[in-house]
Amino acid sequence: MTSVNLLDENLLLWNKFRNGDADAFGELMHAHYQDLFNYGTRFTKDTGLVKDCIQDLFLALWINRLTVSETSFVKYDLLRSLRHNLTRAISRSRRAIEPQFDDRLNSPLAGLSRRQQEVIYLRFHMDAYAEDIAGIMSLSRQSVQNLLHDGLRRLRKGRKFIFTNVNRRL
Amino acid sequence: MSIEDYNTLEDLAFSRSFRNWVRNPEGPEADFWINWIAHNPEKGELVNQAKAVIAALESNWKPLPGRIVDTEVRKVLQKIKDGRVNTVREIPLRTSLLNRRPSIAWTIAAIVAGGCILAWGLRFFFHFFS
Repeated sequence: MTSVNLLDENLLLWNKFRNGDADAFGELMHAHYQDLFNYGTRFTKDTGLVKDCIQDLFLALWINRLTVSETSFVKYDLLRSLRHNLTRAISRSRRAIEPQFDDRLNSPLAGLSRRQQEVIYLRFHMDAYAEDIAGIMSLSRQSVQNLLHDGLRRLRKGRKFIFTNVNRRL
Repeated sequence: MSIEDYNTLEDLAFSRSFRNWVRNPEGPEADFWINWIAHNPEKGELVNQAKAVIAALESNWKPLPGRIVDTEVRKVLQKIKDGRVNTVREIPLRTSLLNRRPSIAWTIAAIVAGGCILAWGLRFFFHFFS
């Protein structure tokens, strides 16, 4: 399927959803659930909280379907809203601890700053460009580009040991 | 993106085409990348580094089983069907009062109250002993 056809299909699905088609909404949720869940679990290990936030996000989207914009590019808006709700929920439930992004010790992103981890995650796994990431994280585009550049450089330095063996594995 | 544009680690590691080829070296992108590497032998080290970064980052993605996605989507659709969409919580909190971070307003109020008590105590102390 070409990207143009995919774009047309997404737009068709989006317009059906805006007209109150619950089946189309189900398809939309299926299309975005993995990305939202995976992104959400970078902020907290409480998967129940992430699922609740995603559920509320989708219900809010359904309630506001008549007023949402006429576009099929909803993914980054959903990510931004999920980030906002999750970080607020987490910061209220902890004592002065800033929400962490991917604090697993075995993560390849361990050792990078929280923001570096997040911009690399969004760029790599969500196919988001600097402008999209800036919108999701409320940063300037230049800051995102700097974080991407420095983060990738640190990732490369920190994982030099794998470079020598990589051709055998890939 | 044209051939000349693949100059940095970012260009390669975040290129969807390059990543497809790394995942599937026999796939449809193979001809392009084999040809590109042949014409850019000085970028061999960059290619290896990008492959390593891709391998590292891809190990960081664990897909959720499809049945869980189905269940979660069904829950939302059921709520819509039952008309329970007005119960949306803005922020779902799962915390007890003991774990909540005190608000800034309460912190300031506590400091002001503490200061007043201290000032009254000092005034009383000096008044009594002078």
